[in-house]
Amino acid sequence: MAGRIRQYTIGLALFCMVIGFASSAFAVPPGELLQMPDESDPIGQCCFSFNQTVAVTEPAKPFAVVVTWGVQGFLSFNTGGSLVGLIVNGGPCTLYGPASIPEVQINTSRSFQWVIFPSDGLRAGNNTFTLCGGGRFGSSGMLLGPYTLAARLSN
Amino acid sequence: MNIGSGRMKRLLFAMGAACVVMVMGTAAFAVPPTEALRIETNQTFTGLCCFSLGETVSITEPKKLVPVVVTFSTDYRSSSDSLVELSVNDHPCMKLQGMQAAAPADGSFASATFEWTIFPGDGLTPGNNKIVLCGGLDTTGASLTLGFRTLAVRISK
Repeated sequence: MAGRIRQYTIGLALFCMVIGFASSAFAVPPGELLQMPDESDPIGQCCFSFNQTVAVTEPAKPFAVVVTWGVQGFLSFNTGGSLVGLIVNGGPCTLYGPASIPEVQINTSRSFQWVIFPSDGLRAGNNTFTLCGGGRFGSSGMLLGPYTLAARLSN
Repeated sequence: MNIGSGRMKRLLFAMGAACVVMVMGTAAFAVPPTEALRIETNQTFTGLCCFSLGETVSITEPKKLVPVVVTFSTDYRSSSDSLVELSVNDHPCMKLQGMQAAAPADGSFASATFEWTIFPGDGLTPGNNKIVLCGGLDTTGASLTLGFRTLAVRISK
């Protein structure tokens, strides 16, 4: 009897360790948040990578990810404005929500919320989200204020 | 032997309880698809505020209610100032925020993001809660076109 209980205890302990490790995968790993403290001026027609990437770790069954880009003002020099989107896991630059940077100068902080679903190419384990974009019609460039990029698993 | 066996049983029970807590903690991260939505078609509205704009998200509240944070992010064109609000569990629209008129001559869109904190006193209930985006124009004859947009709700932490 005691031997059986001991076996159950060991089995339960192993199960708890697995669950514990799975839970710790949700802890905030480095790379979910990025800060660009300086102004930048990506130049080119949409769409190209801005080379700024955040990442999240998905469980075995991926959940939706919410990526938020907060920028301290911007200005597009392109007629028709510029677009900003995301490259998910090295795929094409795609617009996952609002994307427009108008031709007028915006001096106040703005944010964009993008929602990426598992069907958009998320997978178990590490997933990367790289800022991308460019001029809607032209390649005159844009001026971006300091910005942050953050990714989180939906609740 | 009996004492040792009893101790083992208590240990087993405690570990089982700990496992249940951990499993429930992990499950709390599960994302029903309705907590976030993305719309990739333009839609034009012409009515005065406020009516449902169609976007709905939902979230499950625990027995002890906690606030939720709702974020709406959109591209838009508007010939007059517009308003956006939220309706919680079919209550009247509330928590009004303004959206400045923006109609670039080149046909491009402006963008805006709005965030609301919904408190238990705003009509949240244990279990499933439905949150609907509503709004409209503040000038007769004007129009508001929403472009690519997202709506997401999350439990505040």
